[in-house]
Amino acid sequence: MRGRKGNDGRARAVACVGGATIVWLALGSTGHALVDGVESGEARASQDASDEATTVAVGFRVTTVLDERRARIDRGSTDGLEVGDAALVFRPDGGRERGRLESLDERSAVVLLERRVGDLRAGLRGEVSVPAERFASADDGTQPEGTPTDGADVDGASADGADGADGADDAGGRDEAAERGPSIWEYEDDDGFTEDMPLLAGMRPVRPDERAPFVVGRVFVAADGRFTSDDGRGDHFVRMGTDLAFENPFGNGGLIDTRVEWDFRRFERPELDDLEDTEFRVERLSYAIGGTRFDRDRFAGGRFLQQGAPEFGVLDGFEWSRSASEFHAFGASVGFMPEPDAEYESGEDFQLAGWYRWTSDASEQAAVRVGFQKSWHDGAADRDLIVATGHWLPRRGWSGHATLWIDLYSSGDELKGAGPEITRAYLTATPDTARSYGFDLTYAFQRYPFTERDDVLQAGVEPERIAGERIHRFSVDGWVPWREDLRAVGRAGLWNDSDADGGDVELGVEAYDPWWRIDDARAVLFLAEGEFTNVWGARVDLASGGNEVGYDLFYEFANYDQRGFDDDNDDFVQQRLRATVTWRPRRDLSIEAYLDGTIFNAENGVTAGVFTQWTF
Amino acid sequence: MDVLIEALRRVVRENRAAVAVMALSAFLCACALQRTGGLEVHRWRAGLGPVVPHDTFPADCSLCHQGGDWNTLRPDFAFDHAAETGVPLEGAHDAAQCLRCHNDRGAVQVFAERGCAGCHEDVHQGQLGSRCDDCHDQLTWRAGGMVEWHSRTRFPLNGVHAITSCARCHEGADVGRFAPLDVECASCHYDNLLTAQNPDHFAFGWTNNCDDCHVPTTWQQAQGF
Repeated sequence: MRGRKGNDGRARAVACVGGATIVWLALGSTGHALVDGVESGEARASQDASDEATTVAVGFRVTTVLDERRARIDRGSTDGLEVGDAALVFRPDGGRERGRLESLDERSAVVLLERRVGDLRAGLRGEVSVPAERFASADDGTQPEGTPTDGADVDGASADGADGADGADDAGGRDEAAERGPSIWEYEDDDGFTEDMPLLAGMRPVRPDERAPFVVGRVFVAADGRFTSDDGRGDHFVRMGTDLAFENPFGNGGLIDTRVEWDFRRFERPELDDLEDTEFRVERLSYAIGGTRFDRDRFAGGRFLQQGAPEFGVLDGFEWSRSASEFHAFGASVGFMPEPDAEYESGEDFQLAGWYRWTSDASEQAAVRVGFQKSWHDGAADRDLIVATGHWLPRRGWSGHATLWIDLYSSGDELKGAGPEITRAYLTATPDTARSYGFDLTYAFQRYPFTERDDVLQAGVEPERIAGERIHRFSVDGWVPWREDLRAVGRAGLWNDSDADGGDVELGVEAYDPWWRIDDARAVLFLAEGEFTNVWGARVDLASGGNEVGYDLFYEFANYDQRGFDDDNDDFVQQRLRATVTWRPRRDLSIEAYLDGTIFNAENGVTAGVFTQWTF
Repeated sequence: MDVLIEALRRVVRENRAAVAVMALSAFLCACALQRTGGLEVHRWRAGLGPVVPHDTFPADCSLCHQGGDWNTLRPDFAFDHAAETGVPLEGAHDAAQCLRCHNDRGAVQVFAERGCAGCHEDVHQGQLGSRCDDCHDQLTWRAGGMVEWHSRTRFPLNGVHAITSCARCHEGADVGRFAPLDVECASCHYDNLLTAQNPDHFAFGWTNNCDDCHVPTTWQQAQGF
């Protein structure tokens, strides 16, 4: 009665409708008499004749063997089953085991057999005898409650899963299946079914209240010490922190996000007072709910990075967003922004923001978002910021991302003057090369925004630079294969600011499994022209990564030319050697230790550090 | 009442852009709430089945599931993501819980095409672009090799700068803010300039062109005379 189709989209679409797998009324298939748990052919024939007009056989397949008497099957209430219905399980040797439905939900049920069956296994076929009157309404052109008629619209009737893109691809198939209405499973190859073949039964999505809450996160400790040949100069820090995400804590699909970190820094300098700082910082502490396929509205409160427009930053406040349709979403936020430095103090910068997002289709091949943020610093108007972002992600051809920050200045912004100004832009473009080669283009632009809030980050920048400085950057990164285990890598970059221009070039090779226990080797020649410095040199990086222990050895030789001098004292050679060992005693634990030495002229410095992270 | 109206006018006059955005937001909300039919169609329908597509999975559910519900996986559950889906899970992703990516918040394929930002929040707030793996690995997410990476900027790190902690210059480093800095010396060394008394730099007007006398190869006084 049942079998399997191929895995093509049409078969799945048919399966969506057939996923109800109701053997739709009578069809000559009937209920059966059961005798002593094992049904005899004679008894079966007799009972078939008497019950033919009163019961309907609903075919099923065992999906899970719970014990020797109990098995889960892939049919449930939406297929017309009820607790107590008689069931038959067809053994591989031709015998039949009888039982009754012990429990069920929409898409599955548990059969309790009358006796233990040693060779009960997943994949066995069976039938449930269902009183015909339960389907009587279908004869009249109506269907029993919960019976699917449209694979696309009936909750849980699709086997396409969560993949929105797949869902879009299969939409035509679903529509076609929907036009056919309820169909009977007619499979021609049932005898060839084996356990490793997929079921094509429809499955309903698990609701948040049916899903157990869980916690994921990490705990990390990082310590770093820098020791120099300069007596009394050093730099040390310790960082400890944890990220915890409580998924679905209250059974409604919400998320509690926490991230806290403790930092200690000490900077010793002989010519000035030492600096020492300890910070305990709560970076995230928020609760968000919604924004799922069950709820188009999303609410977040607490301290969080704005999800709708992350460019607007971390917020101590409230955010709301709505997916209005497949194509449109919008949202708004209100609250205080913590200062963007290690202290993360809040309460000075208040903001209101709103955004709108358009997507081309369910797969979001193209998307554009525009947002506006108005902020106040200590109660005074500070920044009017527009952020526009977009991406273009076709299956083939060039893909690209772009983000644009535009500050709107008023006449009160004396350093800038009234009017809009692009303060930052970031554009990247990459062709789809099927990994036959790599090619990335990047353009970046920056001006200093004139804001009270960003004074924290621009404290040392002179006003005239805030007013007039601009930096353009353009770079090309790429690689091409030489052999299967060898490829050439390269990069070229250009920059231009209001004072000068320059750039860099890198050219090298990457080899995989080149020799001995080295997994990756990379050698690069480089040349760069900075604002005050020219440099050329070479780098070699060797990496060996095992399941438990990995090693990385890096060496750089560089010749620097400081352009401010006009004698030979402006050239110097700098060498750096770094060794890193990463130990993973367990999949969830990583311990990394590194030693980084730098030698230049008569000075040198060594950095030693460790980074440990436990994820769960 | 007049005072209230005047105050309202002043708010509108002084915050036109903000008021416009708020008005637009209110308008969009109102439109959305009015379109009762349209709002019923969410882009990712609740009826699309489980968050992990099961249509190619083996028939024997007990290979992966255990217990009386569908949410508990067997302790020895294993899934070759690369072989089964064509998408290898690298680094920490290999040990991550399935539901961290396959969840009700969106379609994984769409997220994956957006890159890291599809699932991970961008702590750099968009200011460093979308190619996270230029700096981060997928195992610990710790950024490495930043000293050599800096040679691509206007300010290659040499001498003492190459062994100085990032946060000494990048004030927002601890919270992911690596906005490009001003490369002028005084931007970071203003304290040193203020205390330079032998000779008195301010008295001589030596506040610019530090590299006429100083090199970055020493922590001590100027060299090269």
